[in-house]
Amino acid sequence: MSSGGDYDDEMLRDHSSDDEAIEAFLRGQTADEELGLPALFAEDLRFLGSGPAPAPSPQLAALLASELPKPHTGPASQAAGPPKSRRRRVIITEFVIGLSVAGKAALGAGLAAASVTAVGATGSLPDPAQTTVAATVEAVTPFSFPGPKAQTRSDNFGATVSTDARDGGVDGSVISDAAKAQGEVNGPAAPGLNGLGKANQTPAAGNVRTDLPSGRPATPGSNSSAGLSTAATTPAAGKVPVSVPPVSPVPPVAAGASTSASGQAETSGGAPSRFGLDAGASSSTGARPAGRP
Amino acid sequence: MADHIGEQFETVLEAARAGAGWAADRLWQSLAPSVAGYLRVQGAAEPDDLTSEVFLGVFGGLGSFSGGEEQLRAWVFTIAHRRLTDERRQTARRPPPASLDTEHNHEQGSPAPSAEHDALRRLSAERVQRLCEQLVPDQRDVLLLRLVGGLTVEEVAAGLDKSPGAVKALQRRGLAALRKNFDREGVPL
Repeated sequence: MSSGGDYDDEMLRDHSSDDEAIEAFLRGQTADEELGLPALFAEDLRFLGSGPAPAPSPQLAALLASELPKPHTGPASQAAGPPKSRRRRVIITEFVIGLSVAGKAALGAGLAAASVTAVGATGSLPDPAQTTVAATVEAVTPFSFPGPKAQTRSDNFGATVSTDARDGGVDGSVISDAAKAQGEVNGPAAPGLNGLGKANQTPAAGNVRTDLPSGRPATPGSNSSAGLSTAATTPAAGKVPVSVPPVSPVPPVAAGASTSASGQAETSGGAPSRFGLDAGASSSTGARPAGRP
Repeated sequence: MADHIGEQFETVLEAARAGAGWAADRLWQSLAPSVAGYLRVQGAAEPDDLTSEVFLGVFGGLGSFSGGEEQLRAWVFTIAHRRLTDERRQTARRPPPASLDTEHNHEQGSPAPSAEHDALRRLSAERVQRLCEQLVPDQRDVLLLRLVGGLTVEEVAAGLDKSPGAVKALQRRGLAALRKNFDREGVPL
């Protein structure tokens, strides 16, 4: 028996050359005899690792003959089994494979319903779908789901103004300030939609006058041609003097009435609050566009 | 030394991870002979059964393995060495000389080796085992992992939880001990 004590001088030696020779020997590049070892020692060792594979155990043979992953139950797998996530996948896969066609269909429908319900719980569905899901869930469960975003967001401003307008309790100054604040929160109005269009999207749609008389200029100096053309279509045509004296500036209250259908400009542009008075009075959504993203 | 899979290794490994029996069998055929030889020279009580246990662990843990063919080989031998250590702890005795009877190794599923190969294998096992039995366990572990397993110094160091320097010292002392024993006893060759 050898021991480390046989090599007391070993730490005092430079072993680099020994290590190189050993590496060469271990790689089969040096004859065993050069190191004083029995001839073919390394060759015999390597020979032990050659030849056919031994017969596998029954458990391993079953695994080698399989074509699908199987969870191991033996002691070897307890020490180094597959990851839990993989085992779960295997179990779920085998469960689904084992279901009948009807069972698979039911499972799929259930998963789809669960997915929609889960998304609905976050209020992320499109408004019509959100309304349906919320109503269904609230009908069959004690839980309360959020409604469509349009109804839950603070931009339900137009409906509020509309209701106030019907009740006669509209304060234009308050509405204007609120509209501006709403616009700052929700960002700029959607392009391509004027105040009338916005108004028709509100609960007050149908109550908005679309036949507002023309010829009521909003600003001084821009009314002449509009007024004359209107007069030319009346029975008094021809009796109207062609020279119209300059028109004094329109009082603010009239301007508000004429621009109620284009309230977007009023509110998003930061118009004086009194312009918002008629905006709210003539069209309940006069302040709404600024509040709509 | 067992055959190498080579360029197809990645394909085989991925298929084995997916549970394809043919791929697991390919890995088994490539590595099991050297693992069984290592366990046999190390004195495992049932080297072939222990080899199967090693590969059940290998196939069960393939999902967590990453690397090439040489890394897989080092990983497999590390598992084999730890299984051997566990077996020794369980038996709580010095490993007896391994059974050199190889007839039971070639039952169903394995091609029957030639009588010449069997005889050579038996002879070489007897020869090297007699020499290796005289080494201290650490020296024997290092030399067998390097010569039979084909592992590098660094791979052996990682598998045995030792530093590369310690592994080099162990292989140096192990070879010196082999040489000394050979000179003293004159092992017939």
